[in-house]
Amino acid sequence: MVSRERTNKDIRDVLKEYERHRDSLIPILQGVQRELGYISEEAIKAISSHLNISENDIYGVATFYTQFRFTRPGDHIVRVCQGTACHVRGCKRIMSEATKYLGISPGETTPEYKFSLDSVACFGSCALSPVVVLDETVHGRMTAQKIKKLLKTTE
Amino acid sequence: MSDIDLKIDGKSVKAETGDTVLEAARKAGIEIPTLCAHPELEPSGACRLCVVEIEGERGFPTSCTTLAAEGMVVKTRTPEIIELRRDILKLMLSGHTSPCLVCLHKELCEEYRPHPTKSGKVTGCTFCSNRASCEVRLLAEEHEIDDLGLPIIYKDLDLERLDPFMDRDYNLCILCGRCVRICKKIHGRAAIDFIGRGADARIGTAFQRHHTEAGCLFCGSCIDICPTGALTDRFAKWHGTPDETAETTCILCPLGCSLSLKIKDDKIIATGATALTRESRICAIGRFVLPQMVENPVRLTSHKIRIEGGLRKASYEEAVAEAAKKLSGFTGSEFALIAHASATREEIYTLGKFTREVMKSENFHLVDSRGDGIKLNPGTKAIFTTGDHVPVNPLGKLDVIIAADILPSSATESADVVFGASVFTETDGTFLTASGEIRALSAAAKPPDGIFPDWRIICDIAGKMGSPGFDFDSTAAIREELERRGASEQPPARPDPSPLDDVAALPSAYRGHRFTEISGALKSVLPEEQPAAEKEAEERGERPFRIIEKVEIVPNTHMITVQAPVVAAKCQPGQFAIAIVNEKSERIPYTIADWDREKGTVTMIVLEAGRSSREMALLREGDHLAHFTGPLGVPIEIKNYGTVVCGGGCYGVGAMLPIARALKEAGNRVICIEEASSGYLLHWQDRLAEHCDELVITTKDGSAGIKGGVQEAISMLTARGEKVDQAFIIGCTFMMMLVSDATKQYGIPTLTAMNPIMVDGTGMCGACRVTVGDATKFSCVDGPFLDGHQVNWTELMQRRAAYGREEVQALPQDHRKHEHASTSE
Repeated sequence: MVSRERTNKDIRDVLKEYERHRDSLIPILQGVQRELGYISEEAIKAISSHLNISENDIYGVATFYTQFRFTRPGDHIVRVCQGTACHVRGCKRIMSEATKYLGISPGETTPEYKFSLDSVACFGSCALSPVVVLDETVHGRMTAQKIKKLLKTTE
Repeated sequence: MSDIDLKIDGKSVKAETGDTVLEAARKAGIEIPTLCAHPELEPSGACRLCVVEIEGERGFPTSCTTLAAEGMVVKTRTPEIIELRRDILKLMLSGHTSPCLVCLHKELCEEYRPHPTKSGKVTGCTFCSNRASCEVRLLAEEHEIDDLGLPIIYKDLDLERLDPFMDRDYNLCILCGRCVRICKKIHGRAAIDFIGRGADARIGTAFQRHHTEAGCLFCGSCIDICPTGALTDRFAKWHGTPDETAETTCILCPLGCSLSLKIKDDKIIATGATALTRESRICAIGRFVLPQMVENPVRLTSHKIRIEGGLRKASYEEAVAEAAKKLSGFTGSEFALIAHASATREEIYTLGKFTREVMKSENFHLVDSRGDGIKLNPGTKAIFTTGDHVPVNPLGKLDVIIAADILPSSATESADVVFGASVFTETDGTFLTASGEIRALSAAAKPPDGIFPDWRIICDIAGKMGSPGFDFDSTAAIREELERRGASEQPPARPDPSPLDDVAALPSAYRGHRFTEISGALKSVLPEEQPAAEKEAEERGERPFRIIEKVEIVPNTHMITVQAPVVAAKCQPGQFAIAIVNEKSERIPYTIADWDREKGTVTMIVLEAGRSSREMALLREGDHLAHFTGPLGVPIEIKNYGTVVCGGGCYGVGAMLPIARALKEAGNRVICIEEASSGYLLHWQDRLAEHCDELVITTKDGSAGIKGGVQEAISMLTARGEKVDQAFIIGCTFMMMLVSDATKQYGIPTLTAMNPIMVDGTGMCGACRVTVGDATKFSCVDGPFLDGHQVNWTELMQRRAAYGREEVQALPQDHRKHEHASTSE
């Protein structure tokens, strides 16, 4: 688990690398998300005083881009593809198995911040459908059985 | 600056370098419609209404963001452009509660309902405080849009009204971004921004914080610049359009900002900055609190003299004579004069001169805008005070108290003579600001009859006491003397931090009256003055009239079920009940929509339309009503009429249910007609359908069922040969009038549910009288159902509007308090 102290220090480290100018806003947001995995309230506050832009302004910019998230993600991110090919090959059952096993809905994180579950439109790995991407690794030809095993071994 | 020559609509036009096509056109007197553009803002190109055709350019560029160039040939009004603008407007309107704009009864409605209903969420122009000045509405009318031909999208966002001073209904927002841009322009660090993108984009704060936590300074510029009714001034919004505006100087703190007063019927309904610029910005007190102070219901509007056992009203001359007599027995340090620093130079001069030259005293105290009560010298026996400046304890020990004030205080209560006095907006003179500048006041507002400024009161007392040198006939004469004498004047200290930059630094009082007491809404930005211990202790144990269920079934319409077994046991179709929300609320009748005798509950459908229904709307499950009386009124006669029509709209939809149910059980063929402005406002169709033979739906915008109202549905029924024997109509006065007109033509006997102002509900007070034919009926004991063909509707509407202004003033201003009260249980 990431402690708050560590978090604030990380934000300060990220901010140090950028000029105090509005143009730095998006690179800073990307840097913060790389470091913390998400854009926290504390991070927005720190960016606000670094750039002298209101928190509302920063939040407005950040929410425009789907790449930014505002809740702390789990240690592992499970993305279940819902694209056309995966849909045809039964990704619904895979998502429902993942939902059942983790006890959360897509877009949510398990209470102990172990897993986050997301649905994604297409990874471009349609030949391997149905596809699940766990962190950076693509797992093709998924089945309800296989995803359960995958999640179990990841724990 | 070199001139640019271009052609717009065939006309040769000259523009300057840097002018946009829009600016060039406007300079040449060619109007192009806009929404997101504003003279105080940089162009943004968001609304697309200002599209034009430019020869040699692809598509339709927006004229607000296109720079004029040499030789340009621009067309602004081709049929194609006009059609494009109409489509843009229609798309905008499909997501901007617009049923009233396309309603068949629009003209009549505006004639009979000149003032919009004081609703919570806005569900149409008739419920929108901004109706008279809405730019979207104006453009829709200019472009003759009477049908959208598009699906209606109601975003169903919560009404945001927990912040002080402002109501925000983003269901009306067209995302023009003017509010965001003006906030950035004036404050740099904006309190709002566009949040999210695409269909989910809306105006908001970081992490959906309240504005009090998002850095908002409550300058009100976003309200002033919003083209729609999305952002509104909670106090001013229902007072209507001002007749005139006037400028004066605000003297509530040493900054002395320029203030624009918006005046209607000689009363200040709102105040604002004189321009939407950073330099002209004003604080929350100047923007939102002043009208509530000046037009306060407890404002002192007369003079009083103490007699045995209390105070009696007196003429100004009597009060002056009495004050002169009382003060003449004191001199030197026995006398003290306590004035507020939020006063003109002329007032401070005359009050000081009176103290020194008439009373021969050095005890002249000026209390600053944040000052607490002052300490009087031990030997003080008589005082003149211009406000609530002296604590109760010393007051009791004084021999003579003369008070000139605008609101009651402990000083006016224990005074020997009380003068009602002018507020600074009602006097002229000059003010010395913190920066040493002398700024003029304009006496733009009219004081109540017989009320004068402090300088005149003190001069008249001095004159009565036989002192020379106080016969000034104007502030100019005082100014001439004070400048000639070279009276010493120190500029007041500059507030630090400035109230313009920090809400915690707002001035907190005028004449010793705390602004938190004047405007309840302030309590969420300024600290509470009352200790927590004074707050009422929550009653423990079982209380009657508990709210069992409360749901906002459709926007601005609340279904409320209350535990009231005695009422539930006796309810009959057509009856009503009177609810009192809290100890200080009015008694308000609500039609009963349903009941459960076993569970002992009664259900009402409440439309938020004023003070009491707003208090109802703010309740939560688990809260209790202070009282609930019923059933009242005469139940409808349940028998077999043959074919009956039950027609209802708004809160009347619920009331139809028990009537339809009982009539169906009595063997009637029952046709229910539900009317709503738009499809998303329809409710209880399933419950009604269960208890009638046919349910007809009508909407004013045609988004569901028949386009129109109940009368159109009745015309349809008649046209298809249906013979209706009796109609029961429940809804707003206007709707019942229109339906009665229609049923009269068709010869259908019609009973309408009267909704006049009512007080006791038992036939005692007579407030609810309605003229029916030649007879005067009391709606409470003769009704509520009376013969719609004979009701004098015009008189009923006039009587309902009798307390329009008072009803607006009585609206709660602090909604967070309600929230806290209901969550604290």
